Amino acid sequence: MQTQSKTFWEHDYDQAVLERAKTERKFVLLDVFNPG
Amino acid sequence: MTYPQDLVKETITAHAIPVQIDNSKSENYHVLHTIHHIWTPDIRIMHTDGYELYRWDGFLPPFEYAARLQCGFGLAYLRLKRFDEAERCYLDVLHRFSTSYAAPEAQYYLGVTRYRRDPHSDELLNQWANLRSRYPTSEYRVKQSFKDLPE
Repeated sequence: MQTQSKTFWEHDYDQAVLERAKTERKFVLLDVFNPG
Repeated sequence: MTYPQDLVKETITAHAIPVQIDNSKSENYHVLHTIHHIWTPDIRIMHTDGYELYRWDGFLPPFEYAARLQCGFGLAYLRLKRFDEAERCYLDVLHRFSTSYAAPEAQYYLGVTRYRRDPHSDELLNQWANLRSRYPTSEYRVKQSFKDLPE
């Protein structure tokens, strides 16, 4: 089980994240987890 | 735990915006369906155009995770023809994570990266010769084996 960090992770894979990644010339890293 | 390790966090933030998705929450089901999610942890490196550039499933401890991630970023840059950045990722894997499971992949694609950047160079064969000698039992050695290499 992986721990969520409140400050490190975004939690919505949305247009805002994509735009930010585009501006910073970065990728988006998706981590799909199960809390159980 | 994988993520609290600074090694992993630094690798992530150098190249990506990190997004964590809880697959038990119904508001995430649409995204999970879109990416054909089936198992956790499910790691994807996504381009800003929405296309997936690298992926893997399953737990890895921090050392292996950081190595795999750096390889993933390498391939992501390579597929975008950002050859210098790809090269840096692969060299980093071979320098810091040479004993990792991801290292043979890095060795293989270092040759591909340099060849694609300059098709007239000998680097594909040079790096694949390194692959043959350093990782002789790896899957990537098998992938390279169609090509005869000078002794």
